[in-house]
Amino acid sequence: MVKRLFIYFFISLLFGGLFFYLTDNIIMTIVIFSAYLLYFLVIFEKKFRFYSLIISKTKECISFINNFIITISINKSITTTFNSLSSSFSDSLVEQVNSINQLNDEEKVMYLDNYFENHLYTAFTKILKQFVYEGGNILDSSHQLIFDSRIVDENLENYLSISRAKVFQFYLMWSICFAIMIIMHLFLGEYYTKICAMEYFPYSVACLFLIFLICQALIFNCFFNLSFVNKEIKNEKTKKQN
Amino acid sequence: MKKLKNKIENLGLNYKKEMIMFFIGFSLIVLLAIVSLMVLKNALSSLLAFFLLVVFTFVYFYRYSVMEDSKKTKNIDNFIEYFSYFRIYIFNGESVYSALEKTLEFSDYQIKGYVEGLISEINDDKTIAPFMRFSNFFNNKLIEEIMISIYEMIENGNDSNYINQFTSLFEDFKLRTNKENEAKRLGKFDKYTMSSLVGSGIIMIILVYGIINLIGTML
Repeated sequence: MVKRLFIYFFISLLFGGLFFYLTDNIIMTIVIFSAYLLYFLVIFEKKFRFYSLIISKTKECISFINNFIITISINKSITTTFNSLSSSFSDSLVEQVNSINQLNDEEKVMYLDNYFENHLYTAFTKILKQFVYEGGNILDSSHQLIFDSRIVDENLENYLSISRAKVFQFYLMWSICFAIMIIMHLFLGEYYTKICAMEYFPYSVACLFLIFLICQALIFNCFFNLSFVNKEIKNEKTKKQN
Repeated sequence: MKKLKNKIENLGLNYKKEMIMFFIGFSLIVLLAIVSLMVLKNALSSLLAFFLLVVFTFVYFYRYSVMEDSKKTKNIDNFIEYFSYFRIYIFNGESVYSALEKTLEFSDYQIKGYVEGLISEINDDKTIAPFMRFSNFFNNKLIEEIMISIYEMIENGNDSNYINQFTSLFEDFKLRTNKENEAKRLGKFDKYTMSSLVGSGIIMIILVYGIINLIGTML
């Protein structure tokens, strides 16, 4: 968190500094710096946390389901399976499991549906119940579920790699715009100073910086949208509202 | 007008309320145009107001088409999500009726209503009609085919051939929809990347305006 705050501060300072370099206007520089910092602290951070939560929970859920099915198909016992998998749990899952220590292992597995908040896990608990009370081959009955979870995992991985490349492309294109401004400042020399002294100049450059901020907010809004992977997970605010 | 009214009502919106909102927005722009014309006494401002009116009217009514599209996409996504779980239950030997009932908890509130309607209808009507009525909600030929294959599963007592037919149709539909959705998502990224062209345009305007002013002062 501290590391991220430092990065937000650094990025805002970078854009504030660039604006000051281009316009020599301290008041507008403070406005631009504050706008960027405010965006990163209030909007970006919230979306980033939610995004990380969905990725980590979805991956953990898929890995839990797959490992559990394979292990239980060998040893046929929920307790042994749960205990053997517990060493690979994440910190937050361990914390969740510790908070329900009074339950038996089967109840724990069922209760984790509230932790993962994923339809795949709900389907898994139904199949597990069927296996516990009616018997049969769990590998056969969960064949489609494993297939679906693999598809979700693949879609997620595919989206993550492509979306990161697209955001990089976005920054690359905009950096060319800012490079034009810097080159203009460097090579126009005295003429640039005269243009810079014109009343309209700082406001129009500020307008450019704000358009960039809006486009950045829009692309990150799209980047952080993982509703195609999991519509179930609700952030804390939505949970409270519900 | 009747078509628009139906469109708005199908989206679950109140036609009267929407029209009142439109006229409020429209009147505000007209008022703004009159005030600016009286204060500025400039023909350009009335031209600008006219342009604003056209844009406002277009955006206001175009958003219903966008909302309609997004509702259709959401409905299809819900269908895929629900029938993915249905398919798991069918593979585990459940009958169509019991799989439909047991997977209700995985459904979104909207599709839940449709499925509940289907379950109650297939109790009374043993023909293909309830399945066709269900597929009509989605207005998609492939969904219609999937529903026919589900009906055939009932008719033939979960014969593995019919289960495979349903699975292959469903997987095909799911794959196609996933690809379409992915293309839409990635298309959005491209739109935002293109915004850098707007940035370049602004820089050009800033520069040209500055240079022209500079030349003006020199002359």
